[in-house]
Amino acid sequence: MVIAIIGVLIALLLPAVQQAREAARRMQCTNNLKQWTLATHMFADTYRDWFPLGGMNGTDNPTKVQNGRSYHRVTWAVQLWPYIEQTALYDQYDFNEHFHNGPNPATLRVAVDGYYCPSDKVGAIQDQGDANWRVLGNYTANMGNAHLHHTGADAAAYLGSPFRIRHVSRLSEVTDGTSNTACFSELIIASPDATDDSRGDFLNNEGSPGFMSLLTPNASSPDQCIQCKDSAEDANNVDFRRIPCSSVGQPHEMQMAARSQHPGGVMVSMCDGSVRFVSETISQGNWEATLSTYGGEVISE
Amino acid sequence: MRYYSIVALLGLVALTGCGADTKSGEVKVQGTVSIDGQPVPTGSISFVAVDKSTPTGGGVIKEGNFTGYTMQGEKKVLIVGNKIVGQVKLYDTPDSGMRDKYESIVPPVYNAVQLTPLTVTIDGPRDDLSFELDSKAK
Repeated sequence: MVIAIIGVLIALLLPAVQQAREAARRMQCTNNLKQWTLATHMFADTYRDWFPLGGMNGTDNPTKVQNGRSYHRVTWAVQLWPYIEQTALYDQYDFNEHFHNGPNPATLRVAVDGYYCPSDKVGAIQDQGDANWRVLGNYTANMGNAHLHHTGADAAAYLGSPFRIRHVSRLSEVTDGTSNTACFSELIIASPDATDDSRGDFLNNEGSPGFMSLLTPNASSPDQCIQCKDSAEDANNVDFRRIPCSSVGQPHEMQMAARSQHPGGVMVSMCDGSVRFVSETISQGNWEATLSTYGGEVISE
Repeated sequence: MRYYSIVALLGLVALTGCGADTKSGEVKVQGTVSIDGQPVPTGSISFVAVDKSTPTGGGVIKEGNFTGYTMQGEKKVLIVGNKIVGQVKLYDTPDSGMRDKYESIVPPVYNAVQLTPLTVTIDGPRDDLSFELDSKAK
């Protein structure tokens, strides 16, 4: 009888322990998002109102952007290094070279704790056999209601976002309110130890530097990436329901949803530094309103 | 007797514990996509609620056929279509790896929610959806 009771108690406890672990991992993930957002605020204090550049592509480099500075291929994460206590990496990085040239690849091979959500694949890197391999990461910046590079139709409908490719935004542009506007979220590292899927390659401007409101969190509609692993395109594979993907050729066709291993939704940091859980059942309209910086929408929930 | 009530309580927890807010309302949709009568080799399809009141669903197009999942209701349909035309370098370095080179074959009008002429009402699982695109659509 005593054993039966103990059995019952263990049965009661075990699943709870697993849930507690996931809750702890999620808390750490929340903290990482908060750190990236606070780093962004420190950046905006240093550079007078400007957000970091979401990313620079490889055409006509160096390219001067609105803040008066010039860039080669790079993403937001490198610019935030000094504010997440990675000054040593920042000092080694040469901003006069693309991320894959000069001393830069070595700096992109350091697996910083803050790159990874503990619920996903901590420490994941690309295939070390590739000459340009880098570490991967779970965090991704809000690029609003547009593709990675804007199409003509995107430009007409665009309602602002903290981060963009080839353009910088201002903190003071966030007229929807920093507590109503997303800053960072997470995605699932699709293919560690390989180079066959762009998702997780957040240090590459054509990898996964941003997420868009074109797709709701954990959407069944596929991400559109420069590279998708076969299983993510195969309707009969489990990956198709978690990380669906369709390969495209051009950055103006690229779009990525926020995705996560946390059950039922994703963690999102708002531009005021608060972090919240957004359910994957959020409506397309509310998600667009959450990602826009100056849409003037009312978020109705 | 007390132990029976514990067991009963456990049963109750097991029954009610998993009512999580998931996308279980989605239905499976399948069909075909062609442009000028030819199947679209590779691409994606998205179903966006006309009133934007649900999460967005969709699927992957392969050899003119697609499989996807979406919430029910009145939808605008977005389509991206590509064909593979050889190989291209991943980086502008001598030792760069290669990837497939894709060329877009579906006009951009089909990939913007405010412009797309395609709509469909999803009122349950479907396997007979058919979208015929025009390469000259503007």
